[in-house]
Amino acid sequence: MPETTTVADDTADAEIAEAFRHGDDLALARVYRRYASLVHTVALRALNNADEAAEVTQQVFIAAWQSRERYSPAGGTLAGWLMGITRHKIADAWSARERQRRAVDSAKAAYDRSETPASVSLTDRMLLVDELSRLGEPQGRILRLAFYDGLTHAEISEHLALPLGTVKSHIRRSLTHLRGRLEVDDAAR
Amino acid sequence: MRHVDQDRLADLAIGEPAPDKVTAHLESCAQCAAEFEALGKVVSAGRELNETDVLVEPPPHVWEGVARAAGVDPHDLDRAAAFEAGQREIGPKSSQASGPGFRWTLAAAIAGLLAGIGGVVGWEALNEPDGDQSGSIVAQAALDPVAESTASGRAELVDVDGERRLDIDVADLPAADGYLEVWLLAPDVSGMVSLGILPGSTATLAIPDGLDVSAFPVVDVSIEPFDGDPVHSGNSVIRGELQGDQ
Repeated sequence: MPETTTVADDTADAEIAEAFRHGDDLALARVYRRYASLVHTVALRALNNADEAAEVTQQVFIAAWQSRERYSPAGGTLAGWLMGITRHKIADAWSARERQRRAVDSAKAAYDRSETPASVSLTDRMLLVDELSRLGEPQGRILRLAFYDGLTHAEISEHLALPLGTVKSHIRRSLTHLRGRLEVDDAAR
Repeated sequence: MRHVDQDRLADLAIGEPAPDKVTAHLESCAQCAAEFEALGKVVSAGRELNETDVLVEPPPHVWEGVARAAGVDPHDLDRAAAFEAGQREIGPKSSQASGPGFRWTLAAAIAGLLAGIGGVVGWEALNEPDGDQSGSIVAQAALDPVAESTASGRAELVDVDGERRLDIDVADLPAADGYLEVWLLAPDVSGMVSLGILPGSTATLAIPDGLDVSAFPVVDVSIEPFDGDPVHSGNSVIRGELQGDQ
């Protein structure tokens, strides 16, 4: 049995990334469709301001398009690369705020804390939300029960009326897949 | 040194029991320990999430600004959606257009074959099936060989007072290691339902109550190895689309 859902996903994402790098027709639109919500949500949570989040999202995709030839698949996923640009643009937005107000509110402190290595970063959490939404079913439901509700394999098996072996194998595959996504993100930092 | 199987590390990372020798190995092997730590990071990130963690689409003017600055046509966004929908029909390398949903590698493995579904013929041309003749036939499919198989067959969806079943009858199946499993697939292979095994050349399989067969109209028989993996092997031998009032 080959890998499940996740390989098709990897292939699709890699294909979009390749088209983007070469500036193919529709590539910018495809990348935007695939990642605009991810970038926007990270910006929205970091800045807690709809207008600034929209502005940052726009800047991220414009900057990404302008420097698309600098993206290298060997350095990590396109999602990870976009997250790097997003972090820079968020920092720029904070600098602009500081210049205007000469004050840093508690939200920035919270954002900085969330970006320290000790805790899971905002970008990784949102990358995970994105990946979870794309796992397919029943993998998505299984992982959400394991993560959000902290259920054991046996409890998930009972809850979804799925064989324990099925739950176990879906969790193993999904975790390994997700781990690849987040690790590559780390490497791109 | 023999390393710990990734599956065992995943079990341990999410808090399921693992053999003692796994934990012992982790203490002495930096490579496996690093892998375990990475999996643990995914689990802690996941456990920090809840139902309110959903992605928020940017407002439409954001794309318009991006398109203007990049010098591309704003309508590219619609064209990209159409392009991806088309890709899904031909071979779903890229199935993100509809957002969350089924995403199967298998789709990539067998989608090309779906284009070959053409074996739907009138029911009159087929022999009466074996098995229980009670109930009414609401849909039927001629099953055509997939890949190198030379098998043929037919399937019919039968409704007996609201209880549905699939009668399947095949011939010339290839000899293979493993067993045969019967599935209902979505037309774009974006999802599938296992109905059970095909022990010989015929089977009568119950359709789960409430299953919308019109969403999974493609009857598929696969060879499954005895690997304990419940997912479709991607190795289909015969397939056809149900036609009728399912």
